Amino acid sequence: VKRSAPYRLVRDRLVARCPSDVWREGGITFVVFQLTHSGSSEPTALAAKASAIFALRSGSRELLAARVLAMDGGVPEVTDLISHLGALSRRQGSDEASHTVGSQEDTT
Amino acid sequence: MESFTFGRYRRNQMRVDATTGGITRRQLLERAGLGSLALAGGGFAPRSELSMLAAGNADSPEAFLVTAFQQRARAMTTGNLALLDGLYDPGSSQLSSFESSRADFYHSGLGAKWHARVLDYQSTPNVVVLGLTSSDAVVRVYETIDVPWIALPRPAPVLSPEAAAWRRESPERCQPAPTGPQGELHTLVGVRHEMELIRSNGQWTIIRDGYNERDIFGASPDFTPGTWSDDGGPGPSVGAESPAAATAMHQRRRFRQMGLCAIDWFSVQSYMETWCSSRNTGYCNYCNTPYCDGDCANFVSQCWSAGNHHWDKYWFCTQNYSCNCHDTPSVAWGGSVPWINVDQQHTWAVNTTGWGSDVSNVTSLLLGDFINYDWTGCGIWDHVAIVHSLDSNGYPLISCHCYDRCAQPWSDGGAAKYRFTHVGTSYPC
Repeated sequence: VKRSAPYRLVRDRLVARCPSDVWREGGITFVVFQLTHSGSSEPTALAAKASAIFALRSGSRELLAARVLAMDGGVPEVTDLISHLGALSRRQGSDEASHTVGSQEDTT
Repeated sequence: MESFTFGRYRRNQMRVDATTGGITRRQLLERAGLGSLALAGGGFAPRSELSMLAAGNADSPEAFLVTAFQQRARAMTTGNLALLDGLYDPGSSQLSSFESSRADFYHSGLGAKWHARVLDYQSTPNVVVLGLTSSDAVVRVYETIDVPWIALPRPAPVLSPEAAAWRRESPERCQPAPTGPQGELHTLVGVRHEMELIRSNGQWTIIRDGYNERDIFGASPDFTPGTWSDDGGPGPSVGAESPAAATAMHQRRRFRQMGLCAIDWFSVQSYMETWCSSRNTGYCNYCNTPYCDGDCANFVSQCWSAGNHHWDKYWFCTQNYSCNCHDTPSVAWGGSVPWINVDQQHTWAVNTTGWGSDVSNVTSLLLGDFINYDWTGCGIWDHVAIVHSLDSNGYPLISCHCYDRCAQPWSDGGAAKYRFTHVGTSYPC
């Protein structure tokens, strides 16, 4: 878990580096970390009293899911860290692309 | 909620309702949208996976469990109780003593109970949930015991003229159970264990093992009624038939045909064999839920439905019903009262539809018929099992859920009262 990109997204917001709970169901291992502070505004679900939940396939350690569950006033808010990473990288890609286009325009 | 501290951080006891951050693990996963992932992974670890884990790490609790259950089964087969030495923590003397008596009973007593010669016991443990620290493991194991046995000869049953006619009319429903090369039948016994292991001096041992083999040798001293091991929680769920597939299948079945409909008894038996020691997640599982009393009637209904018995306005499944008989509907299909309640199911089959009729003798039963059990004789029917096939003497073998059994002798350990019901090969529809 700690080598994964989704973990790096929440690393700065961990209450403790040790997981608060770990268990295995069938072939899946679940690892839960407690998060306290929201830090930057992205992702917005990283608020107080949040949990980061990682699900791994037990044998291969393949990361199946990584979610942040924030209980904001009793209303659960879920952020999918894997999708969030995908969106970030797409945005990064499009930023780079638009920068390149801009450069080309500048040269013409 | 019990909890304890190991190493650097606090760890909860492995229970389905273990809390993490104030809410249960199940709630946490459901709120995070991972409930289905837990469900998909919450079933049996495939046999190969457990073996792989065990092979890959000889020190793992999985490796110990494989060895422990195999040794236990060998002790049951051979009667050599020394094989149990070293498996149990010296402090668990009550459990250790129970295990010795149990192994002795399996070796020399079960055959008499089943009127059979038992050839062997093969145990396959499947880890359903495992909580692990460096020196302790809390684990839920679904054990499948394969019991090959040969029925001892007994006088052929004297059939009533009616029963003899049923056998002539429906030869496909009175076939003997398939046998192995020695003529042996195979009964599968599913047992849910709530276990705790401890590791000291590099060796794992069992300090607690709660399970209940009600119909065989009874409950272990660590068994706690109302827990996962009591009639089972969602442990052995496997989703071979996805809810979506089930939905399409059920939609088709909603259209009733007019006339006389036949049951596909081969499909009934096939469904029984596929799901008797596991759970089809397309349907709700009513084992050990607070407002339901088990999954036995649900399983019998599923078997009939698999044989294409059409649903009617009383006996049906719907996603509008919850899987705990109480609150919000589930993705899986919940049953109507005649679908899931032992006595109402009998009433539906016998009185409402006229499809079934009670018979006085167990030897009148054929594949797909059912038996109601009143364990205590108090007048409440506690359990239902469906007839799987007949043994070589013509006596029924039954399959059921909670406790999970496949092709077991019909008495199911013995009840104060039985009710035998024969259902027709076809039904008015």
